[in-house]
Amino acid sequence: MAEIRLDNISKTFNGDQVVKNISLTIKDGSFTVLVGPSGCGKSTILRMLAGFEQQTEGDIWIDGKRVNDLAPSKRDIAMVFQNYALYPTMTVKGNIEFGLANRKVPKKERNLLIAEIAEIVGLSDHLDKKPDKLSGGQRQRVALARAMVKKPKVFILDEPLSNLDAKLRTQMRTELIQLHEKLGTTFVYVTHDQVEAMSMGDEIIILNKGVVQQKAAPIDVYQSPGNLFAAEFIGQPPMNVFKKEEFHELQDALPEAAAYIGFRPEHAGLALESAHVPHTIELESEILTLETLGAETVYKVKNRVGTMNIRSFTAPVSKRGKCFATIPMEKLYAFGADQTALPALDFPFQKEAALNGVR
Amino acid sequence: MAFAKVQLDMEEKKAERQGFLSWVKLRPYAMIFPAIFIFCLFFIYPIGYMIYLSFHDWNFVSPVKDFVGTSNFSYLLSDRDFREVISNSFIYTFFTVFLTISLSLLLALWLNRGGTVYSFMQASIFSPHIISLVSVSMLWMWIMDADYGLLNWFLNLIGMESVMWLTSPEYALTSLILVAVWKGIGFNTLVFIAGLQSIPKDLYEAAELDHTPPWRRFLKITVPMLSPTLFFLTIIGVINSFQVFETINLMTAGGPINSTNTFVYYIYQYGFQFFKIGYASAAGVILLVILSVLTVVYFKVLSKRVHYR
Amino acid sequence: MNSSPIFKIANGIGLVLLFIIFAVPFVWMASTAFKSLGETMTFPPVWIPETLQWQNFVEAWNSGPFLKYFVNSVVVTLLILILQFATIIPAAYAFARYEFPLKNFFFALTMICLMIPSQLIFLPVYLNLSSWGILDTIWGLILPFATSAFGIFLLRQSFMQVPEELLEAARLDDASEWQIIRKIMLPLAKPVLITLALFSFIAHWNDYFWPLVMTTTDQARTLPLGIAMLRQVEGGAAWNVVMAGNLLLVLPILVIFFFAQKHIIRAFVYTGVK
Ligand SMILES: Nc1ncnc2c1ncn2[C@@H]1O[C@H](COP(=O)(O)OP(=O)(O)OP(=O)(O)O)[C@@H](O)[C@H]1O
Ligand SMILES: [Mg+2]
Repeated sequence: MAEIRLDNISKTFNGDQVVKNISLTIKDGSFTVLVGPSGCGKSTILRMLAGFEQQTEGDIWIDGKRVNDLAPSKRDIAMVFQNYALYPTMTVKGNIEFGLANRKVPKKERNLLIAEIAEIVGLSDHLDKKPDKLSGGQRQRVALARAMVKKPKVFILDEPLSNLDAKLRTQMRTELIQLHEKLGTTFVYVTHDQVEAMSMGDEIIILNKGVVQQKAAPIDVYQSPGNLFAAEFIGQPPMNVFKKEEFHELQDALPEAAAYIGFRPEHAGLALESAHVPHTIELESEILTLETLGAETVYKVKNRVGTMNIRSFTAPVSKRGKCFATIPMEKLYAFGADQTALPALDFPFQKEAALNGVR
Repeated sequence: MAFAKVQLDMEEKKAERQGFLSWVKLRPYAMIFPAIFIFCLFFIYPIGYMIYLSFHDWNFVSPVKDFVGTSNFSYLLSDRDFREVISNSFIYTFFTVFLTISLSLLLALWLNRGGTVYSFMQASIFSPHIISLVSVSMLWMWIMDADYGLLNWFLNLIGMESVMWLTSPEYALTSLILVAVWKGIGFNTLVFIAGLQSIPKDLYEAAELDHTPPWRRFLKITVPMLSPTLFFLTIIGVINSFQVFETINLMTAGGPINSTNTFVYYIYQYGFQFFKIGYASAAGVILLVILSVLTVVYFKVLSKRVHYR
Repeated sequence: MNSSPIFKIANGIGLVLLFIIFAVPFVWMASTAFKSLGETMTFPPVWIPETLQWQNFVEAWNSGPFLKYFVNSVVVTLLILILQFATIIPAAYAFARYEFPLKNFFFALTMICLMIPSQLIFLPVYLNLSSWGILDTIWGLILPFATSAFGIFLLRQSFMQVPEELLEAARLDDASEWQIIRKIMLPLAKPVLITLALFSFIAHWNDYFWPLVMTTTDQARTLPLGIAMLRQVEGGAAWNVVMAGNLLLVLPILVIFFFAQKHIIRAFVYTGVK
């Protein structure tokens, strides 16, 4: 078990800085998810952690020890690779055993450990098979077993589920969460899938272009995104964001610093008739497309502000004719010109409501 | 590869701290050393030595090697025998490579099918390739024997005159070419078949949908897709044919009347029978130059037109 | 494809003709090896000898120190194979997986040696071997082939195809470089290793040129030379004995070919395609 600290880490490839001066602490025993679009430097950070890539600048600390010059095998880290990287010429048992044998663990102990791990990941019946005879999920488990058997301080997982089909992915997601609870080891998990990030992590680190955008618990990332990027990256469909000027009815109520206004699709509503609810922006709109997902419906509508997504849990509205999009003002987010989030908006009516509540 | 380097960086730091001349830094050199050492000893140094000798007059035993400038070369180039050697080598190479490649392409198109019969045929035509040139030469000497040979018996059977396959200046080189083609055709065919099989089927399917006639499919799909194979087989064929020795030594000994004398055999004769090391080396240098020029030109001119996948 | 009966018949005839062209010479060799001297000179040729003359083989074997030739052939071929693997594997690994100053230079040097046939430089090599005193020993037949540029090239190619992540996983598993080579790289390169072994075995077992040039006495001669000398007996060649000798030379290769035909063909074609 170990806390990981990155201290002003930068990485430059041929003059191209792909990781820019990152400092962060990954808590001991946490399940931390690194998430961000493709090419943002997630794998690079992991590989520096593991020691496969030497950082250009900065220090890495694992469990209070500076590991900059430590070879990968000396860092007490185990890694699960995106395409598993199983040794194709060894059996499942051979794959799990290789690291132990290299560490001169006695044969007897090895067998015990392997049996134990195989039991945990459910591979006991497949120990003598070669990887190419296994299904995708089984390979994934071998990769996990191979990592677990070394009882590392830190688990690193680089998009371990991206090669699995949707159903298996959901299943493995649960298994990984349970595994983490059972082991209590620090997990560092990389994904570009925000659903995975939200559902698995107890802490999310959002990265973009080699810079940390936000680091917080999933619900905090969702409820109070740190900046425009985090707001638009998390959530499906993403937050609707417009220039402040589009909402002229709000001009007076908005703080001076605000440059962008956003709201989540599920906070907006859709009605066939104008209802004039107070403290709500109502926009006459036209439905462009509509995705029925069963429990919910996602509309793409067009109005004077622009196109926006609206997610509704009520019965689908027929596509024809005009309709009204409603956005409760209290659900608006404001962002400054530098795209960072501003403090929660503070409308006079909210104060009144609060006062009313007290009274 | 980036990774291996980083690994090195890290191990290196450790080594530096220990204050040793880093083993990590030396390791790659240690690993390539045996091979490089052998190359230097048996390829690089001999080439240099051969070039050196080509400017000297030496007979193997005398303690001095006289520097003679370029006179070995001018002797060779004015020697009628040597000019014949050059022309023989080019004729032999051209026809061997041309016939082998065109026939094997046809055979490949014909034999590229599934089924036992066809794989058996492929194995049969390949078998000469793994047989020693000694055996091949002797077998064909016997078959081409003017009096008791199978070939003349067969010619007589169908009412043709006997041919002095190996003992007449007109036929000897042709006979050697025939043997070379016979031996080489199987390998070339199989390489072509492998090339044919690696052409994606959907290319042909697409062409068929476009109603492309078969010969156009051959010209527009098969030939371009086979061009790397063709390129490779030609260069290998040329290099091998230029250094033909075994069949000549065993079957004709360069004769009759020098009609089958080629480079390596000529060098062998001058070196080991006439003890003219200078001439032999100069001939070797000329062959080296010819092969280098051919290779370079071939790569420069043709590799641009080869379609690589 | 055209499947009219005429086409089928023509196709069949063509296949038979092709088979005759490539198989009859071997049949002829085998049948001659069992003929009596008289039968080799009769017209029309005899295809099946009256009685199988097994003593042709004895005569061939006894016409020189064939046991010596045979042992030399085996020793030379095997030692070349062993030395080649011992030098090729580390070199290919270094070229495939390390970065070091002058790497490109050394690799270019290897490629030059790949393009230069040893048959072209036999004369200076001969002179060197002679001045080092290993002419006319089996070392003169072995050392020049103790490594193979072709092998390095092919194996390097195969090592480079091993995904980086596999090696990273191995390093996390505390594997040393040597373990990575032995446990991961070599098992993955098995087809290439088999290819190289077959290729090298056939080439050096069959080699005639190099022993011819580099040996002067029987102490280092190999089988192909002995067989070639069968023909130079006084009073002209006895073709039946010559063919018997050749059959002895060809037999090991043919037996291997018979059992490993797929492997061998794939090996040669593989070296051609890559
Ligand atoms: N060895 C390397 N040499 C040069 N550039 C590299 C190297 N490795 C990564 N990069 C660059 O660094 C950037 C970040 O790459 P990285 O692999 O960390 O992205 P990622 O966030 O893992 O993306 P993905 O989700 O697609 O895996 C990319 O622009 C990539 O091109
Ligand atoms: Mg990645």
